[in-house]
Amino acid sequence: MNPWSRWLQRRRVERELADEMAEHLAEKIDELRAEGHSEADARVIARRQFGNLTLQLEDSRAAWGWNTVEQFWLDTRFSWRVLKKTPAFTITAVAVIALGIGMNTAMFSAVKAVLLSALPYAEPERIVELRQTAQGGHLMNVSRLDFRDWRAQSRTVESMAAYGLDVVTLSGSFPARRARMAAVGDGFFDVIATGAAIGRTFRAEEQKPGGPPTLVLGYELAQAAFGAPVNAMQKTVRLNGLAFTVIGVMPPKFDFPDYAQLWLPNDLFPDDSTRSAHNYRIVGRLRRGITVNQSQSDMNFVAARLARQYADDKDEGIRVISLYDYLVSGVRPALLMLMGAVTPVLLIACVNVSSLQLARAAGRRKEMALRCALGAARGRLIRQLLTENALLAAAGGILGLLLAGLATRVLRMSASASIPRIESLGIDSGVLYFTAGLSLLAGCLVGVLPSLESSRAGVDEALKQGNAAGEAIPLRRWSQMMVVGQVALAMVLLAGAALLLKSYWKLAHVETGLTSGNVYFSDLTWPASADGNSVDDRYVRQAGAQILEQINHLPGVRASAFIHGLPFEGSSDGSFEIEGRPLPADPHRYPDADYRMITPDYFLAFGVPILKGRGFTAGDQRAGQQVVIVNLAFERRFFPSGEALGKRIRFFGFDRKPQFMSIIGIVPDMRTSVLRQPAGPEVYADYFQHADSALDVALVVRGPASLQPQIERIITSLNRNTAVNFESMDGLISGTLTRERFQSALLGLFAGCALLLAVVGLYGLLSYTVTRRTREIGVHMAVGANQATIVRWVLRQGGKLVLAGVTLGLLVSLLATRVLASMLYQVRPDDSSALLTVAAGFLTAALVVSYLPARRASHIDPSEALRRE
Amino acid sequence: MLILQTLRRGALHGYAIAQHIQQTSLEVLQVEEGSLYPALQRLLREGWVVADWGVSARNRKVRTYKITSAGRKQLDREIAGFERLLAGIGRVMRPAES
Repeated sequence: MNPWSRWLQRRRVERELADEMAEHLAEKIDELRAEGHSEADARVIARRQFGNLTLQLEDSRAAWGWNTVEQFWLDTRFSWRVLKKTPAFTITAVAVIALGIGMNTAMFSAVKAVLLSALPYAEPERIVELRQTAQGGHLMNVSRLDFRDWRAQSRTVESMAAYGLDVVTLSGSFPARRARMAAVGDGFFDVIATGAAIGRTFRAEEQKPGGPPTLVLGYELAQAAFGAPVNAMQKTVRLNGLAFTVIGVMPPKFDFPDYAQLWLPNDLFPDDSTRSAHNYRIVGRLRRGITVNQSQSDMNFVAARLARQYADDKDEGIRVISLYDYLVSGVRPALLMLMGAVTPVLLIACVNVSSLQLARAAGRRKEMALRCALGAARGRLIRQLLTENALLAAAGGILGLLLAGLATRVLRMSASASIPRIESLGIDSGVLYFTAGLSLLAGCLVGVLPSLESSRAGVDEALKQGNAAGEAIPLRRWSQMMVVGQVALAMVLLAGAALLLKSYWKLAHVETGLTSGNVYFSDLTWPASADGNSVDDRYVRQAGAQILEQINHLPGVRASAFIHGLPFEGSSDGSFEIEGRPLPADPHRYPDADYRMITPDYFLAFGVPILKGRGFTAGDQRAGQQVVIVNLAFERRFFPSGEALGKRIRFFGFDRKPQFMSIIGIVPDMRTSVLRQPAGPEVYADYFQHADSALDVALVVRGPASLQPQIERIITSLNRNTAVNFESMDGLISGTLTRERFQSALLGLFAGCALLLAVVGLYGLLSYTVTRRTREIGVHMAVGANQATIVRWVLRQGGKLVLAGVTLGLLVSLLATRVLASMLYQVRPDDSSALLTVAAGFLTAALVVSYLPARRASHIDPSEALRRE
Repeated sequence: MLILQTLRRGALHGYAIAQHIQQTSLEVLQVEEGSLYPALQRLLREGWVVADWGVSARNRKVRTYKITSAGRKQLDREIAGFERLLAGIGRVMRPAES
């Protein structure tokens, strides 16, 4: 018989077996009676000699191996009934597990999307980013001349392409809009191994200076601008006013590099002037079988050769970074930290449910003992209890998955600006496996201890009316240890969250030196001149002044200005020479500073006072002498005795013909690039004196936001190829903290859940203790203990455990929070005030929660308690 | 092994097997008679015995078990193994004779 027909006939086989055994007994009874026993005696003796009929029958079935399946089904049904009988417990347990699993699943799907999933390009492990390194090791963009040499001399990189990034104004038959542009070099699309979905990418003749101006649109942009991507083909669009023909549309979701929305050849307007024009990023594809390290040593040779050959390349190196590392290395520590922080939440959840189960186990000792007495083997009982927990875990897992589905949606929306690749976040099969595994693990974690404990019940003792005898000592030990463990874990998470929050709070309240309330801005791009790199300065002076004047006339506007290099959006830095001081021989030791170009009312708009000297005036534009304003840090660095006013400096590569500019004013230090860093030396030049060298500016307005539509009309009526998009300055500044906010909010959420679970666990243990010891408490009260004594007693029970947990947690925190060190701003990982505040808070929460069972204990009526049982 | 040995002498039903083992071992081997049935089921599954419905000496409808050739081979194997074990134990218990 094959196993299937056996399985189908199992009922018959069982029936036959039962018959057979009944016959056996009957025969035995007959014989015993023949020996002279009475009918009843014979029956008893026969049964005794035969053994446990049910068990034998079950064992016989087991011989065929059906039991596992059958028992599983039975156990499941039985467990379901048991769980249904105690809905409060079941719902709590499922909710707690769901919380743990949901958070872990959501976090894992984020880690998977960002860190684990492969990049969506062919053989992505071969794609690398290449950068030049300066003396201190920091990364720089690359000049075109150097790039050419790299490409010619490298023996490990199969193809290499240069690209640059910019934001441009795109206009045409649709309303003008801002778009992220990548100016890409020859071979770019081969390196990234992606071709156009519609049309084609660039031909050789389109990649040469003076070639026909063409561009390739991103799928989503083409769809938004033309309705359907295919409609974009061969259309003429304007980029900062210059006409281009659309020759292709990339596949959906392709946005390399850096969320680019359109691509154009970067050789149209080459600048081959100097090796110090660090304008391009390089992306390359390694030869097959070459590792990043091998390529790095190859490029080290190239760098050494170039350093010998050219003064500009002296002391500069080349760094090869795998594209994967380039994209995610920045967020990896934070994500791993969060993944590490969310695991304890599940652990706490499991321990929590486990201790609930333990408490229940004490109540079920009689049930277990009875089943034991009826012949259930211990293994069999454990199996049933494990099934119960597996059921809980499975339900928790499913609910957790739903929770994770919601959480991933929130994550995707809240983190898309600060975490690369998070947009692909979602629940996929990998995540499902993860959740299933997690549920299984949770079931085991939750189940093992209570199962072992409750199946250990001694048959005799438990069956005797020993309910009031109290719980078994080891059981209580376990429960207490579990509470201590939960508290300790939660304490570690809370400590971490407190540190991050404190650091975030400090960052968010950093004094920038700019009064940014009521200030809003819009990036805008002047229409380019024919070479695409500059603007008609006369037009800008005239149109710009006109725009500012009209805005200033709007009611409520305090000030408006243009700036090239808006704070927190980027600035340029350059080296300069101070008139009358000899330059050092090494170009790397030239003095350097960040520089921005502004119109006269810029400082007024941000409420920044001029400390010494004066601000720019309209008169400066007409005067021949170029002027600059510097900050205090600049004066401290280059004119330590404070005599900067009136001195003249000259930036290299500032204009086509750099002139000496005289310092006419000094402003205070402002944080204008990263909130974490204090201001460095800064120089402000008069935009209208250098208008031809900067296409991109930001319009900054201090005034009521309700005026934005009017301002937009003022600008677009002057030039319809200009798009305006206002944002508040406060929003821009707080946007630089998105990642910090994300980190601390998530860790705070995890820690909050951990705290909640730990406190609930404590509450559960205490109220259980009070219930179990009602009689004891009754006795105490009967012999004269007052309510306060009882309350103190219960609080002490809870307090001891929490104190132990918090102390343990603090000790672990001191080690664990070190991983946060690099993420903290002006907060040490062992910041005692944060840690102690959290500890105190935890103790308070524990005290409050302990008070409830304590109060209940103190209200026990002694006479009633003593009469019970 | 005991069941197979018992069956080697001819087909028997469950009760008879139990009786035979008890009697021939002079009541030294007192096992729960019921535990015979799980054992028989295991033997059935291994194909060492086959079962057939028949009528007992007392005119009851019973299932009789018969040893198969595979069962005989298994029995020989088990007896051989058992004798080796016995011999080993014997040598340990009476080391002087060796």
